[in-house]
Amino acid sequence: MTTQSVLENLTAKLPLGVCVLNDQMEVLYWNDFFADRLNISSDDVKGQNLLTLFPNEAKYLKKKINSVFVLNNASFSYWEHRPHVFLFSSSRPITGEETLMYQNIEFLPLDVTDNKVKTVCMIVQDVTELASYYQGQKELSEQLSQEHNALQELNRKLEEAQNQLLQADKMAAIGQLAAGVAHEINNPIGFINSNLQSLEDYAVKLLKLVNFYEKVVHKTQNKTFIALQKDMQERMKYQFIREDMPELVAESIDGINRVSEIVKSLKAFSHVDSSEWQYADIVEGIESTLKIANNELKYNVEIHREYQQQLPKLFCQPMQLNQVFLNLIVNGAQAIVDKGHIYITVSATDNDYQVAIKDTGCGISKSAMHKIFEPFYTTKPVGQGTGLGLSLSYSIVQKHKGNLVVTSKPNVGTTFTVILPILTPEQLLPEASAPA
Amino acid sequence: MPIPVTIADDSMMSRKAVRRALPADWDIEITEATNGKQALAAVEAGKAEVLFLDLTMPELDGFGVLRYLHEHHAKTIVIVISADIQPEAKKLVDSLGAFRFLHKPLNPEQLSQVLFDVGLI
Amino acid sequence: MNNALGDEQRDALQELMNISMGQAANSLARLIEAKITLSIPKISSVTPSEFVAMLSSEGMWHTRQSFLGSVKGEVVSLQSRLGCEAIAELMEYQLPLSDTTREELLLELSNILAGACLSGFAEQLALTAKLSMPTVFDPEKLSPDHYRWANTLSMEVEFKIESSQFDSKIVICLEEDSISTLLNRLNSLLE
Repeated sequence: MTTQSVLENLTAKLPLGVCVLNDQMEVLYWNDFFADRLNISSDDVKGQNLLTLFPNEAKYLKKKINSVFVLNNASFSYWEHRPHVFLFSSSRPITGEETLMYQNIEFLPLDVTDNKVKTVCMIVQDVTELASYYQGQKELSEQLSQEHNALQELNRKLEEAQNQLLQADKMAAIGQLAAGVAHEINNPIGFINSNLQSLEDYAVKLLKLVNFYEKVVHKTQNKTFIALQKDMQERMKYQFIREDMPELVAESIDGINRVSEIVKSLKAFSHVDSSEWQYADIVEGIESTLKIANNELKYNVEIHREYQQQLPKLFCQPMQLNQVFLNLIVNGAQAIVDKGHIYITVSATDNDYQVAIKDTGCGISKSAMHKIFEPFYTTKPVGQGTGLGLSLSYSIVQKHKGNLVVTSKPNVGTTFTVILPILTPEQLLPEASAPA
Repeated sequence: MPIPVTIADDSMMSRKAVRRALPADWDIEITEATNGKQALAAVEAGKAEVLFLDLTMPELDGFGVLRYLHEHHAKTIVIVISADIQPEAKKLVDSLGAFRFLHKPLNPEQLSQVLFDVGLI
Repeated sequence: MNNALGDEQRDALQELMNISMGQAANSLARLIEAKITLSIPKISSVTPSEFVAMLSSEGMWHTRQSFLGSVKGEVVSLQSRLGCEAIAELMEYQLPLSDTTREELLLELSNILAGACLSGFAEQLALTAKLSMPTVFDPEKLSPDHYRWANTLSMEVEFKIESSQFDSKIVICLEEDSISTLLNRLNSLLE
């Protein structure tokens, strides 16, 4: 065989598409790879324009081939970027899932004289197998990385939930402890209170008695007795005792009354699941809540009240609503860094109650706004908030068929408005009969 | 009398290439400069009736040399031999009054043709 | 065989690179019709760790392309992320660039620059070097410990397109065995 025929035979059988073009984009030669697929033999195709043979990709081919003519530099086309420049069908028509052939193409300057490119050779390589393997791998690794991310996210959530549960547990334990303590203190407070009442009564009587004896001694006009009495009274500092004793007793009674108030409120609040429906005075509820919250408030927060006169009683779960007010007031107080104000406004129309709690605190950022009602969302340091307050409040208000509205401006303050429709027991609790 | 010629290029190889490309029978006296300042000094000293000038040079580049010559020594025949062959560079060189713009690597025949055109040989 | 570069050889290599990059810039300039600023080529012998350090620059994309012929080696390109879109527009790519088209653009650019640099260089020294297809790569995955070579001759040139703040570096690295071939040709050119 001559070299020429060896080469012809070789190019015909190459597993590559080979096509030679002149600068008019006319095909000078192509091998069996093209001839078989287009059913145009190498002899017949001679002189035909490549761009008319492949009109769909003419623009891209023209750009690529032109750059080889202009720059005298090879150019490449990758299956990753242009999978199917030539719309040839897949090389795996039976077993393959692909319908079109994936191709890498090289555009090479072939005949070059004086730096001028005369012909360009286009070599098409079928990389379907490679491409589908890579795509499979890529899908697999994407899937893996997705699963990995999902797992990490899950892990994070679990950790968070565990922390929250620990926190919630702690809060529940504190609540139980408070209830227990309140119960235990209640008894001694009861007898201290009644004993103090008796003590007050006795003190008054004792002073009267001493008064009487003083007068009797004076009546005797016995100078010795009178002197003895005066001496004794001075030694015992009787004048002071007489003035101080009633005051002491009165102060103690006042003190124990205050203690019993606090215990009463504590008891009320420790009944977190107390969900009795009844008619209740909302302002009363707010006032008792303020007493509980007093500790959080007294140093830096000034409370301003604006209550509408003659508010009707509302059919509600008063303990639960108090919980809502407490959350909103405490949140407001915690948002106040230095000194500030909380304005509590209560008003009602024929249709609904509005309780607005406005603070002059740091406000809520836009990004946090849509998350504040989510359970476990908190901006407070660990240990200070459960992230449950607002979500709990929200669900309580919803149970009252009401609404909890928030408006906030960073560094100006936040207003939470609880809107409670005035409804009858039947409307609120359609399935249960109204309590007596 | 020999014609004073200066070759200004920071690359020794390029200066050599210019020397080699010059016609052997041309009666000249060659001065070499390795930057723009040296090139101007050669012009001032009357050693550069013809100046072969590179564009990218330290101290003062070829454009700077051209600009100065354009204002002060319009008679110097400047033939730019440059690696930067972008159309922009040629345009600028032409506007500064260079006689010819030759590409590197230097083609000796082209250079002879240019010298012939100027009437130097 | 002494592979060390003398002053005269370095000067020659620098000038040869200068001429090649001039041709490369001209190729690109004709394609995108913008003025390209050229740097002075840096010729140096680098160790694997120097090589890795050279490539670790932020804000750049990297491609590589090997060449075979009478000299062998690889061309690495660094292309700035800044100005990429502007070049894409000049080269008639559809904007905004997707990851795929951006990669296509990077490969096309590096191929044009590397091709022109290398062919100009090889031609002047009467050497042959045929470039293969370029690919994108991530130099962060390179580790100097894995290299089987001790030194490579690196020839680095920088192209800047000031109108669009685009910056591209082309580094031609020669295999150790090819360095002596190159030096031989260089010496005969200098005689």
